[in-house]
Amino acid sequence: MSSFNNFIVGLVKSVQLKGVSKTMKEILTIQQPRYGALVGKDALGNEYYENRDDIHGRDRWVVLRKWNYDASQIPPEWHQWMHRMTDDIPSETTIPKPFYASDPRENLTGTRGAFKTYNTTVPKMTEWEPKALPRR
Amino acid sequence: MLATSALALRLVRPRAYAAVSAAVASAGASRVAARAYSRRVEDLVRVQRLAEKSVDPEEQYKQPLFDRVAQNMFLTEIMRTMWVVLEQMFKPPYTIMYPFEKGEERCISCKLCEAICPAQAITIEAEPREDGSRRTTRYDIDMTKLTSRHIHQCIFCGFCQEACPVDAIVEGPNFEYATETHEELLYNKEKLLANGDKWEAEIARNLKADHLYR
Repeated sequence: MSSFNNFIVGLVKSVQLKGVSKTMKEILTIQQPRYGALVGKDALGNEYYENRDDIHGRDRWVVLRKWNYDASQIPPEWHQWMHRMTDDIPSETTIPKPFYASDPRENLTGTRGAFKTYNTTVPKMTEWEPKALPRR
Repeated sequence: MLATSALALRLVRPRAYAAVSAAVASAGASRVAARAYSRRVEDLVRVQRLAEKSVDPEEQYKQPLFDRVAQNMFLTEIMRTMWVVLEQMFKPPYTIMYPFEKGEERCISCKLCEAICPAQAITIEAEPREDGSRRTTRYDIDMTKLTSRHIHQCIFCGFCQEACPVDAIVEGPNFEYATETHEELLYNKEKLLANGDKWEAEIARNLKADHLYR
């Protein structure tokens, strides 16, 4: 009963917070409408929410923008917030981002962008190249 | 040694024995006896020190000639080292002022990580670069942990990170790199450097949070 109650209350509050389409997406992805405070949004459009009143371990969550979602779509700055390594909301001041840091990219396994290993040295063995004299 | 033992006998006997016999004779025996005993011990220690002083260690344990010469020679080593230190004081420092200047890749291909890796997952090949510095041309890590058939696989023990003298190899926070094929987890040098660049924001923050305890 209580779970049913939670679902109804969560549904109503979630619709109030996020609107119908995002609530539907949440039901389809994490199978439960959630409500809480919108903490921030990253460059990729993922939205990070927090509800401190929720049970421990489920008080932070992300609504990923892509339908083809994957955990690696969370950029490193928000990764540590999601993993409770910090309570800081990632921003220019809390994250010392070096200029050589590259843009986050997701785990592209199973696609054409997947990493394919290659040799970084000159091969030590070469193929035999047969040299035949022309027939006379 | 004979002379010293004779001395010991002479010192110990008259005073200590007299004290002991006096202690036994008197009524308040125990305190007097204790005092006499302590006096006797003092005498013994004094004699022992005299005996030690009378022995010349250089005579007793005679060093070979070359050993003695070597000891004197190493004194010059200290002077030479101090000269090197003095030279260094007038040279510009090698320290890179980190946020404003940035070094290139840190790895100096010392191969300590390769040596310490218990799973032998790291493969390194090194060559001197054009400017003469030693760099890796191959730095491969097998990240797969599939079956017992693959013995050359990273077990995430972190020994390489501890062994690295220049903090070039670090374990990152990412564990969401699962792949569909084995091949994608055979990381080479470019992939490892790219991983570092991607997670640099978080690694930098961890280092900043940690710097007081390092």
